[in-house]
Amino acid sequence: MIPDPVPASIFRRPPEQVMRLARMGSAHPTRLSFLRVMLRRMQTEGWRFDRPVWEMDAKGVGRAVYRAIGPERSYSLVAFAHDLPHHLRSDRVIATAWDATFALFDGTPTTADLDRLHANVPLQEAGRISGSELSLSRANRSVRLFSHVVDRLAAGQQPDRAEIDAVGYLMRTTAVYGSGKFGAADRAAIADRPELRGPFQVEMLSVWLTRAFTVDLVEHLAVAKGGAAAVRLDRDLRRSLGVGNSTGLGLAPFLIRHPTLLNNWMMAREEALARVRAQPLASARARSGFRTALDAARLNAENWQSEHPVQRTKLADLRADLARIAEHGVPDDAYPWNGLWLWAETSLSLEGQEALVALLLEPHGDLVDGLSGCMDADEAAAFAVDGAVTIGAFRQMLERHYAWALAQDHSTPENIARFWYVSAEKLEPRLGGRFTEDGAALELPIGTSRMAAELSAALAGWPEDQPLAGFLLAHPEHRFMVRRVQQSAAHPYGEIQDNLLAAGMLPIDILRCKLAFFGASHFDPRSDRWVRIALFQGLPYPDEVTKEPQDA
Amino acid sequence: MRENPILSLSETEALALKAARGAGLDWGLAEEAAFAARWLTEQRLDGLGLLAAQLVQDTGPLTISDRCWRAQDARPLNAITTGVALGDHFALPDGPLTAPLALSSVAFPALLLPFVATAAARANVVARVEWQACHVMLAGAGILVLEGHEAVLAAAAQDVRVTTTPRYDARLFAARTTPPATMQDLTALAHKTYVPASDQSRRDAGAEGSDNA
Repeated sequence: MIPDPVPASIFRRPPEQVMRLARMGSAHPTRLSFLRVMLRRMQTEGWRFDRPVWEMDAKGVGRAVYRAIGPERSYSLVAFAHDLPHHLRSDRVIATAWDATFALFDGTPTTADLDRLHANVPLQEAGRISGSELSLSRANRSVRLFSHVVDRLAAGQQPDRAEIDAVGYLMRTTAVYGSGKFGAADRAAIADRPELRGPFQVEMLSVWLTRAFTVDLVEHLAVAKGGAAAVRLDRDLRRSLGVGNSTGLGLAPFLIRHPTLLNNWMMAREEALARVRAQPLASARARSGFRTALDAARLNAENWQSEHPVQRTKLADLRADLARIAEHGVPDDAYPWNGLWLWAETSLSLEGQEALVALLLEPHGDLVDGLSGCMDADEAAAFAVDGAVTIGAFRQMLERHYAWALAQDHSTPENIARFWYVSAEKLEPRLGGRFTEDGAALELPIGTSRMAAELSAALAGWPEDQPLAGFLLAHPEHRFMVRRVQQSAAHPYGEIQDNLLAAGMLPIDILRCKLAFFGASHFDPRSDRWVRIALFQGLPYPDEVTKEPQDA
Repeated sequence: MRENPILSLSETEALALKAARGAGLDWGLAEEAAFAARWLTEQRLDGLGLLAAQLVQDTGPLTISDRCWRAQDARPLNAITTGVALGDHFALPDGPLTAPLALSSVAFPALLLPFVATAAARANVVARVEWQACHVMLAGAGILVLEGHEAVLAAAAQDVRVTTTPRYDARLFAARTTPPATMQDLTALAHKTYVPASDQSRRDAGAEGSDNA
């Protein structure tokens, strides 16, 4: 007997459960992650790829162009390879030279375009690109693995599998700038293109083509070194190489500055989970897909290394929880996925629960993939403050969506211990100690819980029936938070429901959530505010993607 | 930074946000200043130039009483804070929906336009903003300078008048008179589309027999 269908909405997890740092810091990539969305589109639309330019000397210095040809438009990654002395290699934003630098060109560049880019792209932040470019980025070699692979291939041998697994990439990007930065095309100029409308599609394309470049470069250097003895990299080994990414605090304020966008990412994922939980039955195909995904996740968890104590604990939790999921299996009752989920909520760590979210989505592409079309945001449309609403109605909205903030105590030093600021050095966001460092007067508006509490206090005594406009005229210092509160009504998953100034707050939790949406694997914190990850590991290359079975 | 860089809109917005904050605006107002600079740039007006001048201009705090918008002292009004307040009050009794609104002495009045345009679009009205020789119409996302193009970027403080009309009010278009010569010429041309009548066509055009039957 088929059970009665139940609307998916009743299975949706509420914001107060989802938008907590501890849970966001356990996020796993899913099939809604941006790099998966991009690869699926390329498969469905039959994109073609070529490498129209490869001008590289025996030292691996030169330039190359990788082109992705879609149904309507083409995009070209322009790559510049440099001979970087060891002492200049740094992943920090304060670096001024890199092993390779890139721009994603809108269309097919002419030689004049390449020359113009050659004069600017290697300078990165110190150069200028134009509206013909969509992103600017750079990468550094993983020195040990890069040399190992070149040496082995030059000698006619394949690299060690263990060496490859230990690092996972030949190069890691240290910044990928899009959306109008350094003169590049504005997002508004490209957001109406179906292939770029989703979040970070430009950046994902740039990094994916960079991955192909890193392999071509080691093979080129192997030939330069070994001549006729050199061999190409084994296809399976190649497949397990991604592109690394080294990321600091800079990503964290982004999620706080873009609440409507964060909401749309979260809501898409939560709606996807709810739809799966709402399935009355599990098909044999879905059960088998789930087992395949679980096996892959267990293998991935075994290969996932980190030296960071927090992450080591989480990895132990993850491995144990994945084993328990395998042992528990998918129930045979009605609403089997929901049954599995409810069991997990009471039996597994946050790490295991969030891994299960990804596993549940995996065999349900037909049910959830369409949600990727809801993950961009029209931020301009949500910008205007409504001054005509009454103080009373606004106060209700504040108390409803920010109860978590109003319940915090912002008077103790440990609860306001940190402040976020932009450093004058290279203009990067940093985190300081309010009572131990200078600069708190210039703090960024990241302390949402304290701002909400201060707004609530300032509203006290204002008549309920008065319009909010009068309060805003008298208190411009609260306008920032008023806007967020009004946005929260239509975007309930837009605010991280934790005190971002607290002493115990871990910025890497924010980074992990964002990077999981990118599709990053092997999240590896190097401190509480600095991480390395890999992108595209195990996923197809341009010469493979359309020859593979559809990712459905 | 090189000489005269071509800034993207997001760079324009980011620079305006930081500059406004650096000039002492609260974060929420700095966001509005950034929005205004970008909006004006999108209209091909000098948004950053206006903002840069406004941020160093000495201005007085706004007071609103009995539909009278003025500074509390002899200094001109700040166009950013006034524009923001105008947006907030747009649909309220103090706003321009019910009757024309007069603002006394606004520095850099073009900076009001983004706020009036946004509020007018939300209220589904067409707004007219006038100062000096300048007369600007704002409808939807569009801006139309009807008169006094050169005065749009006026720097000196101006008295400003804001009026609104319903956006889809047919009277806006239908209330104008048409000279007889125009009517005559166009009617003659329109007449060329008609087929001359014949006995046959007259017969076939109606029901056969009498309608009085």
